[in-house]
Amino acid sequence: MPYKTLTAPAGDCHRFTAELSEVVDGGQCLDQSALEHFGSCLRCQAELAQYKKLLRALSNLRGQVITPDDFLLTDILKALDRAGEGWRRHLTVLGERPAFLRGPGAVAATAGAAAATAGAIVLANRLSSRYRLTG
Amino acid sequence: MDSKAIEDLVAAAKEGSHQAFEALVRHTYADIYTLAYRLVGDEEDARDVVQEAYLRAHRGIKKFRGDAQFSTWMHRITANCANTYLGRRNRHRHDPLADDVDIPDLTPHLDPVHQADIDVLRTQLVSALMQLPPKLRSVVVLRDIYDLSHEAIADQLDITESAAKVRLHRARKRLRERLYPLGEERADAV
Repeated sequence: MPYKTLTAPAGDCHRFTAELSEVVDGGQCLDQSALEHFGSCLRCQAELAQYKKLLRALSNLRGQVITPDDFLLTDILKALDRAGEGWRRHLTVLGERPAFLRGPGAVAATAGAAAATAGAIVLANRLSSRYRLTG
Repeated sequence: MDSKAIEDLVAAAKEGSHQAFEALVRHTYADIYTLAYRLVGDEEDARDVVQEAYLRAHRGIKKFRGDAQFSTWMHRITANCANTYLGRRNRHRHDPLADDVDIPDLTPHLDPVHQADIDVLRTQLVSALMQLPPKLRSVVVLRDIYDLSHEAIADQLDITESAAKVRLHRARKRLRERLYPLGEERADAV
């Protein structure tokens, strides 16, 4: 990988500090005069050290996972559900998800089935009590 | 889950297995949410970005060549979705300027005494990140936390490589100045 080199006029720190964030990333390397400047300039050395620490700290954030709430996974699967017939078939075949995961149609169908069952039970009870009265 | 298991799931998902894709979602969604949150800086927006990212991934899984890891591929998709989302948000919404930034709870899991100090420092870094403008934050998050190449970042954010490098430099400079305002060494333990 070709590197750009920086020239380093002595006592002119700001010209180098502007590039330090790239130096620490390995995108640039210092020529001899820049190395001599950094060898004797505590300010530049301190800034370079700070950049190195900053990059290490940022890299450590990679291992930190922000835990989402429990509904995110459901929402993702619902979004996939809405997006494609194939996915909907997959969810139906699984047969273990609540109706709300299978879309508004499934919710209506489930509610309808529940209402029909309840109605049948009520009707059966009424018929049974009528027969008891008449019998 | 080891990399071989993920490769197997990816292969099955490419063949059309929805169970395999769902397993990939279950395995990766917290990580993808974390990236999305770091890019857009808002929980609700991050949720939308994550959903869109998995929709795109589901549509494009057959084109996934496997040159990179599945997680890296998802990171690129998420970065692209977040960039699109931020563009829309900037057009339609004006966020109030606020000094207080809602910092996510990052679960501590080490020695409590030492961990308390580390948490404070980490919180400062996360806070500094969240206070960066989204365009600068996106680049430094993708490069320095998720290790995407300049080329990949430029590609996903729809900018040139040199623009990505300039943004990265500015972002790092702001972070450094914020974490070391008086030359203090505050990120040692982060």
